[in-house]
Amino acid sequence: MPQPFAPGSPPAAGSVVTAGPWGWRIGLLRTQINAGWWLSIWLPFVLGVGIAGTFALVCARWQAAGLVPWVWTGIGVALAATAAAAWFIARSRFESQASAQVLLEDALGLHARLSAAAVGVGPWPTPPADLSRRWPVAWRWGRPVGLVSLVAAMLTAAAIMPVASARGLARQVIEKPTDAAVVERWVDSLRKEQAIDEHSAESIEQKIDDLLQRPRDRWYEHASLEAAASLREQTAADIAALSRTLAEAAAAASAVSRSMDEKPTDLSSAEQNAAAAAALESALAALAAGPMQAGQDATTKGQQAGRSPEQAKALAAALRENANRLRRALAESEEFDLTTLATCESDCDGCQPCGTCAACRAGRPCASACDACKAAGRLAGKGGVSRGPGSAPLTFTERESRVATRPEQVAQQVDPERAAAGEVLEVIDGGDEPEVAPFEGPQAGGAVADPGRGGAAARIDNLLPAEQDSVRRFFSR
Amino acid sequence: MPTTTDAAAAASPPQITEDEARGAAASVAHLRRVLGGVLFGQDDLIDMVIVGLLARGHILLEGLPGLGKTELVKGLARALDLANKRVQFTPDLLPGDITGNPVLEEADGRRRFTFHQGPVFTNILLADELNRASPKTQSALLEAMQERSVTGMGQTHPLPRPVVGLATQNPSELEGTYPLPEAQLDRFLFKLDVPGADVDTLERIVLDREIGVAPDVARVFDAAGLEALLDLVRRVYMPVPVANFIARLVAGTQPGAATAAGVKFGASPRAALALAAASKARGLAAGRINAAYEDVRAVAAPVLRHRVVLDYAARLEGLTTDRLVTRLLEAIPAHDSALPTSLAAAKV
Repeated sequence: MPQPFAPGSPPAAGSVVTAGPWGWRIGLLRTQINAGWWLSIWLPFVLGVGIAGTFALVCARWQAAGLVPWVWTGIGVALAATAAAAWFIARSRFESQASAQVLLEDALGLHARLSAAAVGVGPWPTPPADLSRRWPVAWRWGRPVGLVSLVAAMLTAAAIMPVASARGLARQVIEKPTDAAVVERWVDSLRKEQAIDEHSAESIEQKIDDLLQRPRDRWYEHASLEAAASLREQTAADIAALSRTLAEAAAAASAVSRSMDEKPTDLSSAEQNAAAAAALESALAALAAGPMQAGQDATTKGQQAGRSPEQAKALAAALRENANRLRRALAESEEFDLTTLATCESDCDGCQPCGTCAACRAGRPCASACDACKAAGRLAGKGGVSRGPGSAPLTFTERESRVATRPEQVAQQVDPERAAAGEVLEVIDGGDEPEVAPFEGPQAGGAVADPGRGGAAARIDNLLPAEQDSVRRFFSR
Repeated sequence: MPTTTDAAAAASPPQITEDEARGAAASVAHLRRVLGGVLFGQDDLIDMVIVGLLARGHILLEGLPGLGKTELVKGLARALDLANKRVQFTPDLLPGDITGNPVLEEADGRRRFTFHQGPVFTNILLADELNRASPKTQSALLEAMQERSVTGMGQTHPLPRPVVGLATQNPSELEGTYPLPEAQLDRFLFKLDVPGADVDTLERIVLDREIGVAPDVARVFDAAGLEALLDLVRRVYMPVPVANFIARLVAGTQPGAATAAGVKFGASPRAALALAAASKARGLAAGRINAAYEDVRAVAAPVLRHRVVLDYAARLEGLTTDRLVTRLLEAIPAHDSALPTSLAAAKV
């Protein structure tokens, strides 16, 4: 009796034996179906490997070109491994010889003659002439070929498309604007030498940070460069102002020390002593009100009240040492003009003109002044702390305007030299409103003398000096 | 290449020779031609009746009156030189009127009961309008035909061989009828619908027939010849994959199967046997030594249409058993395993 037929399983021994001229055809059909199962499971793996391989290739070419051969090897290994895994998974669905035989005899209309002949009932049927046309299955090439082509295209694109290496990108790191970097170096040096107090250093660093908050690709725009240049100029001016104030305060402290050592002989001497003390207080006040504060030592000694001669001398030394630290901190910087710093390096008397020597009478530096003071030409009587209008408070005024419908409120700092870095010199309540109707200029006899447009001058003035020179050269031809 | 093993040779299946198959096919073809001269334009019906006859099954014919059912049975009986009887079933028909009755007879001064055979004792019985008889009478007839014997007064009386019952029922005028229950329907091998005649057939009937005159029917073979043919059918080989196909088809009608939506009761194992027998008969009629998938598909509807009971909702939706069988054959291929999507079953 025939054994129970189990589709998809091999025929029971002794019951169904495929043979004869149909054996290889049944085997071919079985192989075709099994290959189809294997492909249908493997193709998604191929797509996954293709995507991962594409990503890995691009990353390898970007990070390290030496890894590219390894990536290709990995892709090949992954394809082989997934092919084996797909075969293992598809194995449970593989077609048996008996099942393929049923499919073939049913499709060809052989009236189950193969199954009968396989067990010895009747002869093997003759293969029909149109066997290939009536073959039970056909490949759907679209999906596998399309998918493999897609993966190949992805890998090819990943292999040949231009990819900038990470090293190249590293060389293209956008450096900080030169002026901002210079100011940073100045602040680092000043902090290292303790030439300024920490608060002043942090204030400058905050301004640098504000400047660099903008996107990197906009660091080198005109406005950014101008702001950085302005910060550098302002910082340099603040340092120079601090240096001068320190020198003036040191000279005043030395004068006070000397006057306290000498016993007042007359009323004028007493007045001179009082004047020296007042000059010291004024200098210290200017030092405290300045945009940049001196170092901790000088500041501490300057805050001591009721000085003794020794304290005054120590104060003078501290102030002078602070000035020297300023110079030392900036000595290595090629960007800083050291000549802008006060240069009094000693406790010289001559920094205060005596008024009696020939040099004083001739209007030259006092003969008793130190060499540095003489070289710098910054001596008392030529812009000392007792000169000028004194403190320069911020004042607010109303300004009439021809354009605005209401008066503009303006804050003015009348002493630009004492303005802190970034301090608002002028605030105008109004925007940039170029004239809609251009100014036609003076007319004489119907001829237009100046057909300039409104706002043109402002835009020209905003150009950098070098750019202005270029514009001038261009229009001078 | 592997060859048939010794074990296979030892367990060689019953088989017929190609010559025997060809001879049987020639006889069947002759019978088909003869019956074609009796009943015009009903070749498919004639084929199925012959297949049912060869499969030793009883056939339920459903069709309107006057379509030639009785003529077909008479023609079949004459062609096979078999006895035939016709019984018009009515509600007052008793079981004994079919199977026979014991009659008290006096002979030689002694009285005794003698069993008088009923009309079921024939080779071909036409039970006209079977659904008009009471269930008791229907059951008696069908039981006798199923068992191929009648038991009365403790004695078993075998029916003549071969015996084939052809019952008819009218799909209209159902008032006062007793529809056959599923258990009785299951005893019929086939349920065949007798279609109406088309114009060409009617024209041929008008030209060649006359009311009250029976057509001449040539004798094809006798009862012994038919028995030999029936024996050949039993020896037609049933390949294992074909048997598997039959089994999956019948299992596919069971409620709960994916292909049996709307089915209340599925086909019984007897249906599987009927499919196998009919497939073998059809295979032999086609001159083959084995049954084939095509044979199973051809006889699936006549075998299954009266064995599957649809639920109420499915009937309301217009589902019929014929459509269910069609759906079943589409869903269940001979090859019982899926094909990969990358390899389309382009020609299967």
